[in-house]
Parts: sequence; structure tokens; C-alpha cells
Amino acid sequence: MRNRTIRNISAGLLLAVLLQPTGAFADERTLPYVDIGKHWTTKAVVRGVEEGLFAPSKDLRFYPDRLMTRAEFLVMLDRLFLRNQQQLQPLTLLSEQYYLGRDDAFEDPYLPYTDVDRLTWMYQPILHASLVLDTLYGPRALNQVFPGKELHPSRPITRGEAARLLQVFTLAPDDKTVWNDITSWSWLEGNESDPLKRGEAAVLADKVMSAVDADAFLPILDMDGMKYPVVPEIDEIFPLFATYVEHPAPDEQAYVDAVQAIRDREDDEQTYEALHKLASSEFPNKIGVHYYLSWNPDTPLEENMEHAFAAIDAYFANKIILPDRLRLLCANVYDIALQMEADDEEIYQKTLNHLQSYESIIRKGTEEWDSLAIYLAALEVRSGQTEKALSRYREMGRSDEAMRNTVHYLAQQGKLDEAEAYLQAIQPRKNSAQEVLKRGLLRELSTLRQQESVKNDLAFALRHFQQLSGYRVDGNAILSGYRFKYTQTVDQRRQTSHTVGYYQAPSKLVMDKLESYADESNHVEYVRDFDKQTWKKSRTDSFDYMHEWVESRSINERVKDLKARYLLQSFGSYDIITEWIPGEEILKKSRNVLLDAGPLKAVPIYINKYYIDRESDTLIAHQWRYEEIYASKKYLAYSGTERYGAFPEAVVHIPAEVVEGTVGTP
Amino acid sequence: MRKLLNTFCLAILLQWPVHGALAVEASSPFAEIEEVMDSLMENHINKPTESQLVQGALKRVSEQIGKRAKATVTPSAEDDTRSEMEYRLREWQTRYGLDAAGLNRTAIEGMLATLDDPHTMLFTKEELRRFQSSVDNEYVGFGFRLRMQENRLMIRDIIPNSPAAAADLRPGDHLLDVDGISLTNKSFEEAFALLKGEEGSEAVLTIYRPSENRTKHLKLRRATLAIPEVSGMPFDGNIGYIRLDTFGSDSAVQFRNQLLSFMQKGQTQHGLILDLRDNGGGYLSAARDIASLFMEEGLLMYMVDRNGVEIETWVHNGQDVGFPVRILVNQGTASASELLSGALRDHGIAKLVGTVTYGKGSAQQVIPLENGDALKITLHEYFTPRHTVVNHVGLAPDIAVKHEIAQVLEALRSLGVTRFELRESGDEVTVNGVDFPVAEPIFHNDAHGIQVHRAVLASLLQDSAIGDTGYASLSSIGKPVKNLAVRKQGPETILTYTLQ
Repeated sequence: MRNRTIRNISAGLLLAVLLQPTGAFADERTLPYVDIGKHWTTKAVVRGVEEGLFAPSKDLRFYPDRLMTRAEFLVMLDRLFLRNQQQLQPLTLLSEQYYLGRDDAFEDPYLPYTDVDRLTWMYQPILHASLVLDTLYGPRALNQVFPGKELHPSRPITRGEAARLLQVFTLAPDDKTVWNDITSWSWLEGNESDPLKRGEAAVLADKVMSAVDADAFLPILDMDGMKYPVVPEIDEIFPLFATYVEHPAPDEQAYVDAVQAIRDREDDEQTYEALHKLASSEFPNKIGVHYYLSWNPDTPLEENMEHAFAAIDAYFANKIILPDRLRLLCANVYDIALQMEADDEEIYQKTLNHLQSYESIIRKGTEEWDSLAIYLAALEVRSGQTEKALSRYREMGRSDEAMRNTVHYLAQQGKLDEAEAYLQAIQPRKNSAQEVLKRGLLRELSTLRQQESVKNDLAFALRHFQQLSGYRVDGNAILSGYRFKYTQTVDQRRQTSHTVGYYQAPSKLVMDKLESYADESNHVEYVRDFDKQTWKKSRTDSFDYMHEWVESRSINERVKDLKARYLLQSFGSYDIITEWIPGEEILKKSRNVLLDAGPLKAVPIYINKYYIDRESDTLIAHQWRYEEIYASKKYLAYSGTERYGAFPEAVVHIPAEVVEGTVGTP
Repeated sequence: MRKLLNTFCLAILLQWPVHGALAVEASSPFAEIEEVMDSLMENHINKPTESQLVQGALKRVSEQIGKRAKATVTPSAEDDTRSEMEYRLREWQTRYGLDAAGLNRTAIEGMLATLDDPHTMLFTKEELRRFQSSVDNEYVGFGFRLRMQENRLMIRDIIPNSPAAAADLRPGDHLLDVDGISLTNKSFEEAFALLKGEEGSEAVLTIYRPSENRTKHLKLRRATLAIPEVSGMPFDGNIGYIRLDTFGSDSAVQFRNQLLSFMQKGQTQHGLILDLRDNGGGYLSAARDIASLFMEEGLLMYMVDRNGVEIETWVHNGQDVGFPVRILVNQGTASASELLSGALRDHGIAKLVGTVTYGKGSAQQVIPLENGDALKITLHEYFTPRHTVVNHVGLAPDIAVKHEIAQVLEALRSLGVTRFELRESGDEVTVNGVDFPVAEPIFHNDAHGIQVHRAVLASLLQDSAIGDTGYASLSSIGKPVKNLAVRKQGPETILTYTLQ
């Protein structure tokens, strides 16, 4: 049975629709403001309004030549973060529904300034922007750009400050080099200390959005394993495959009605009955009839697949070259294969074999061949033939998809030089989306080259931290809906720790206390039962969940065994290292680990962020977000934030009554 | 560290099926009882036990049976578990033919009665709507306020954008009858009972307009009215006055606008009087936002739940005020009002003037139930930043004074005011330019001339020996009163006093 949510064909399309509030201004040739008609920034301002960055003003003026204030820029930044939250997620860790605040926080967040007050128009947006910046760049990140107790929200923002706040979108390794990037890409001109005009800010925002839309932001990273192999986005998935005049013949009318029903999701048995009749008649549009029969949700997927291929047969029987149409027909086959994977492991190879049979009909290097080849390559990747796919991608014309797939799979094999040489040989049109994509790919390649040194930096900082004689942890976390807040004192000399705090269960409106002692050298811990006034002892040398095992691995092991990937960004006085571990790799390793939670089935997300104070080389904070799905259907979502402080005089003795008062040892 | 949370959670996860099972049973005839019982046992601050709630439910239901079915059923002391309760209720339901909805409600009321907590209550959808409306100062009515003058009901003022404003109704009109029922010699309460009604319903009002010397009939339709939560006026001499009726969802913004307008005109130069008398509270978030208009940063309160977990609530990103503040409080100042008063006092920002406050130091949350009803449940007790207990005791004022006008006088005096002018006309008294409604007049005219309420005199002259009930003429108080004069001018009686 075919599932109507066709992710791979339509995801891009749906997203595009959701993200475009209105195109009204462009269409009706009326501008949202009266003072931008002849201004050089008109296009960018109009786009900003359409994307929700700028609100309509009472006097219908945008004032493109006025200086933009810090408050105005931060509000715009907040809207840029919101618009691009899905793409930024590998670095912000924020899940979509929790954009408005971290879900592990107990206290309402606030701004580190005295001159921005709660009950003002700018407060909420600036607070949101500041929260995103905190996750990106560490505690009080906004303070690194605007130091002191006052933000001076109505002061003009300088170009340099604006550039630093946009660092994430450039993926610049250091906030000191962002300015060079931004000017060399002509996002901005002038001096860092010059104030920024409102029109120029609109242009800057336009460039940022274009870069994100061109997939120039971390194009190679495939955080959840869902992105690669990349296939083209298809705009029109329900075409008629023919042109019909105003007064169609009865069979033409029947066909048009059926297509309309499927398009409107009002298709039923009669719809497909009508199409079946047409299929066995002399009705000439066989491509359309079979294509739409492949959408029948009530027939087995095998039958849908037969119709999908019949449509391709009909296409070639027509002998009319329409590469876009062939692309849609191949996308359809690919989509059905994806849906069949759960029941048929061989489906990709089988589909590949069938689809390959058309290759001999078309001439290599034509656009028509590209339409077919991109799906052949995708099927090759999915059936484990990455090498074959790579050579196919490299044979294809220089489409964005070919570029992304080539670089991604070369990088995956560690062939960074080859990937770079491949990219350098491509000369996209100036100011094209492809040029932006190429830049993004090159930038990400350069971060991949730094893996070794970043890994060493992180290992050093963590080792440094472990050598402290004691430290204190302030943590917030959310685990399967349970929210925790705790402080922990760790005595490294005695290998003991004491934790106090509270938590809230998802079904409850009130909190419960929590307290425990851990004795690392004996692998035991004592958890207090506040109701019974007792202490419960348990062993800590087994793993309940897979993330615990991952955490017990050294950074070197994570790289070697789990293909962990690292990104270093410096901001102000902090180094921020983000760690991504592919879920697939964790899953592979889990087969040899005994987990109390039972066998692991999938790891949709595994990200850590480490915040290091550069001067003292100390780990000051850590954020994480893990999701694990177990065979028992248990879904574990775990995210949190910990802040660390050295506490050399930490002494934790486990009190005798805790050890003696122990009950219920298993 | 990670390890701890895991063990911890694993232990809790094992209990999950219990909740799951309850959710599934939503179709049981006693689903609402179950749901309320769970919520109370898990969350209510008094940690009610199962047997306590079961007994309470059975007791109340048996009393109802006694009243309705004239039968005597005695709940057994041995029925103290959930399943025994359900068995008993089912038995009684069949035997006495009780309807399910009524039975659920009665049983829940019985449970709630055992809590010794008047603030935990069950709302139907309609009751919940009304509760929320009252917090947001929304009422159903015509949109005019009345005053009693010489035994006649008069339109005092008309609320903008109300049915009354749309009709030909003016302040000063006399209200003669409602739907043909005469209001002559009727009290305020009786008149109010005749005027109130459902949203959308109509009534014919008969009015008399003295200026035109004619009687008119007006047909008006009752509507939901959003009455401003904040009202403000400056006292003469640049002291602001803000009255807050409730802590509704729009209060903080209205409050900020009023305060900003005062500050721009310099009308808080010598201070601000915040009137929280008879303000029964509202949303905590509104109290926090309003507190942020008085302080840049500071602790607002501590909240403690049944498990002894103490949470601090802070104000951040506010602004400090540069002028002294007095808060008028009385026994009707409750909940969020007490919270705000306590916090501003503990931080040295405000002094409280009036009487001991209500003493509602608990916080509730409204949770929706499966069937559309809602439970308002007490979760926390709160304490002021200095850990002062509010619950059941209230806050004692810094300046204790009982009489409603004397409270205003004391607040003004403590802000350094030396000149007072009180004007009375009808049921309203104007103190240094700001109007206050009064329950009883402060002046009394008879053959002996003008007499003044003793509490007002005692406050002005700072002499408690004068007493606080009844009236006294200036000559009778037994000591020379300089700079104090009372006169009559048209319908007004005016008192002026200048401190030496």
C-alpha cells in the first residue's frame, strides 16, 4: 500500500511553501514601503518583508538610509534564526518545538543587560536571539559582542558587530575572520567600525537567506542520515503529461478528473477504476495513466512499482525528449523503492537493475541521461555500491545534486584533496546559487581537514578537566520528559561525588527532590528515597542506555570506532567544539554492548557541544542532545546543559548512615 | 553524573504503566472522580491520602442521597480504597437511580471538602470561563456604573465601547425602573440583581434626565465588557495614584503605560500610591511583570511544594524606581496582591498602609480534565523574599489604619504631603484631586452644622483619642484645631487642612 506522504519527492516543495508567507508585493507591483522604489536595496527589502524579517510600518516607510540600531538588528537576527532553524539545528541543538526556550530550563531566561526591559517590544526577540547565541557560542555570548552591563539598544550597530553576530551562517572558524569572509563575498563593504544602514542590513539578510537556501550551510554533514544521497527537488508532482483543450473528449475528461482528484487528495476507488479503464483503452496518454495508477493507495507496493515502470516504458515509447518528465518518473520509482525497503531488503538492487535497462536507450552526457543517472546513483548508494555511484555522479553534468553527492561521498571516504580538486575544476556562474554552494562545500571541506587538531584540542581540554582535584557541576536536563535540575560536587581524589537537586515527572505538576552519592572506585551509587527515608544502593558498572557507553569512550575511540566528526568555532574568549556521531555507527557498535534497556534500534540524533575557555583551557560548559530508539519501543530523548567550575577543595565523604541505611540491594 | 539520572529514571519509568492504565479507563463511569483523585494525590500541597478522599466522597454522596432520595445510607469506615469507593458508588447509583454526572460532581466535592483548602475547586466549562473572565476584569452587563444620591440611583459613568455608550444614556441620568420593575427605594444590591443577566439578553430601562426634564425608555443588550484593569490619576503635588483591580493578562502593559505617562509628566516626583485594596490577585506572571516596573532585579518569592522543593522566582530585566511607593492594602488584598506587596516591601521599595491583608499564601494551577471540566488545585505555598509567611496570617501593614479614606490620608502624609483637601459629593470623596468611592459619607450635616467622620479627623490630626466611628463637629473634639476648615459649597462639602 502506497503511503501518500511522499517524503523524498515532496519534502523540499512543502518546505518552500511553508517558508514563503506571501508573494503579494512582487506580483502586484506594489511595494511594502513608499520610500524604497528607487533605492538600490529594493529587492532585498521586499524579500525581507516576504520572509517575515521586517514588519509593515505605520508611515509606510522603511528608511533604508537610516542607521540600524542594535535592537533592530537583533530582532532581525532572531527572525533569521527562526526562519533557518531547521538548517541551524546541528549547531543550535534546538528541536523545532522548543525554539522558544530550552526545554531543560527551569527558570525563565533573561538578558545580561540592565537597559533592556521586559515590557518592551524588543525584549522577547532579543532574548530569543541571545538564547540561540548562548547555545552557539557559550554562556553570555551576546556579552562578547556588546560587553558591559548595558546593551545600548538604540545605538547604531557597526558592520563589524553585525558580521560577528552572523558568524554561524558563514561557518567561519573564528569571529575575527568573519569580517574578511563577509567582505570578500561582497555581503558588506566599508570598514568594520562603520555603522550599518537599514537597507544594507536588508541586503545582508538576503545574502544569508540565499546561502542557506543554496544549501551552503554545512552541505556535507548528514546529521541524521536522511539527507544523502541527495536527489533533485521536484516542483510539480501532479502534472497532466499532456495538454487538453477547453472541451475535452469524454476519455480526456475522465483522465483530467482523476488527476484532479489525486491532486486534491479526494481520490477513491472510482478514481483508479477510471484510470484502469483508460489503461486498457486506446487513450494515448499512457505515461499519465500509469503514473497515476502508481499512486493507488489500495494496491500493493509491487503493483504501484509496476505502473511506475510502465509509465517510464510509455515515456520511451513516445520518443519525445523531456528530461524534467523523465526525472519525475524516475523519482516516482525511487520513492516507491524507499517505501518497500522495510519489507524487501533487496529492493534497491532489484530496482537498480530494472532502471539500468533504460540506460542503453539514452546518450550519456545529455540532460535526459542526468535525469536517470541521479536516481541510478542514489540506488547504487543505497545498495552499498558507493564507488559506482561516485563515478556516475562525476560523469553527470554539473548539477548541484551531482556536486553535493560527489563531495559528500568523497569526503566520507576521506578523499578530501580529490574532493577539493573536483570542486576547483567547476566554475559556476558569478553570483549564482551554485557559486554559493561551491563556497559552502569548500568551507566545510576545510573544517574536515582540521579534524585531527580539533580532536586533539578537545581531548586535551577534557584531560585537563579530569585532572582537577575537584569540581562542581550545575546541570539542567530533560530525559524522556523528566526535567532535572541539580548541582553536583565531584571529589576526584576520593572518586566520589554528591548530587542534590530536584526533578519534575511529566505527569506531575509539582517537583520531587533528588539526592545521591556515587562511589566511582567501587562502582556503586546511593540514591535517596525521600518517601521512605532510606538510601538505595545500586551498581554503576553496567550500561542502561547506549549513550552511556558512547560517553565512556575516549575522544580517540569516538573518532576511530564511531566516525565522530568535530567542528571548532572560536567566539570571543571561547572555543566551541561540536561533536556529531552518526547514528548508524552507534547502532553498529551497540550490537556488542549489553544494555539494560535492551537492543538498540536507531539513533536519530547524537550531538555534543563543548565550551572551552581558551585562556585557561578549561571546559566551562557542555550541552548535549541524544535520541535513541530501542527494540522494546522505548524512545529515549535526552538533552541538557551542564556548567562546570573548578572546586579544588571539594571533599565528598559518603556518610556512614547512607551506606548503612541502604535497603533493597539487588 | 549521567549514570545517576539514568538509574533514577529507570526506576520511575517502571511506574509508568500505572498512569497509562488510568488514562485508558477514561470511559469508566467514574472517570472524572478517578482523574481528580489522581491529581490531588500526586500534586495537592496537603498530600491527601486515598482513604481520606474516598471517605470524603462517600460521605458527601450519602448526604445527597439522604436529601434527594430520603433514604439513609451510612458510609462504612472500612471503605477506604478506590475500588471499594467505586463498588459503593455503583451500588448506590443503581439502588437510588442517581445520574452519573451529578454523582461524579458530588463525590468530587466531597473529596475537595476534606482538603481544608477553599482554593482547590472544580469548574465546569462555563464556570472556568467566568473565572478567567473575572481575572481579566471582563463582565457581562450594560456598561454603566451607578451611584446612590439622595436615595435615587444615578448613572455615575459609562464604560467606553459598551452597550450603554452606544445608547442614549448619560452620566447624571436617574435610573427609574428595569423591565417595568421600579427601583424606587431599592438598595444597590437589589438593583444589581435586576440588572444582571446572560450575555446577549435584553432589558428595557426607564430613565429620567433632569436637564431635559423628561423620561425615556431604552432597550439595551447585555455584552461582555473588558473593564480596564488599571486606573490612574495624579494627586495634587505630583504624587501618582494607580489602582489595580486584578492581575489579569493585560494588567502589566496597562500598568506600564500609566506609570510611563505619570513619569513623563513628572507626576511621580514625590512618590506613587498603589491601591491594591480588594484586589484578589490573578496571574503570577502579571505580578512578576508589574514587579519588574519597580526593580531591576530581585527575588520575588519562594515557592514550596508538598515535597519540600523550594523554588525561587526572580525578577530580571526590570527597572528601579527613583521615588517612594506606598501600597494601600486591606483584608481584601489577596494572593498575587500580597505577593507583590510583600516583595516590594522586603526590597525596601514600598511601605504598606491599611489593614492586615487576606492571607492567601498559596498558588493554584488550573488543569483541564478529560470531560472538559477543570480542576483548580493548590500546588504551592509561597513566602516573601524575607521568608515571611503569608498563608492564613496575611501581611501586617507598616502604617496601620482602618478607615478607607484615612488610609489614603496616611499614605499621602507619609510621602510628605502637608496640605489636604477633601471634597464630598454623593457617595464619592475626592482627596487632593483623586476620586474614591465611599461606603459611608465622611461628612454629616444636621442642626449642629457639619460633622466629620472621627476616623478622618483622627488621621488628619494624628490623634487616636478622637476615635474611629461616628461623627464629630470640629468644636466637639476638645482641642483647638488650627488650619482646619469645613464648608459647604453647592452640593459639595469641602474640608481643607494644612499641617504646620
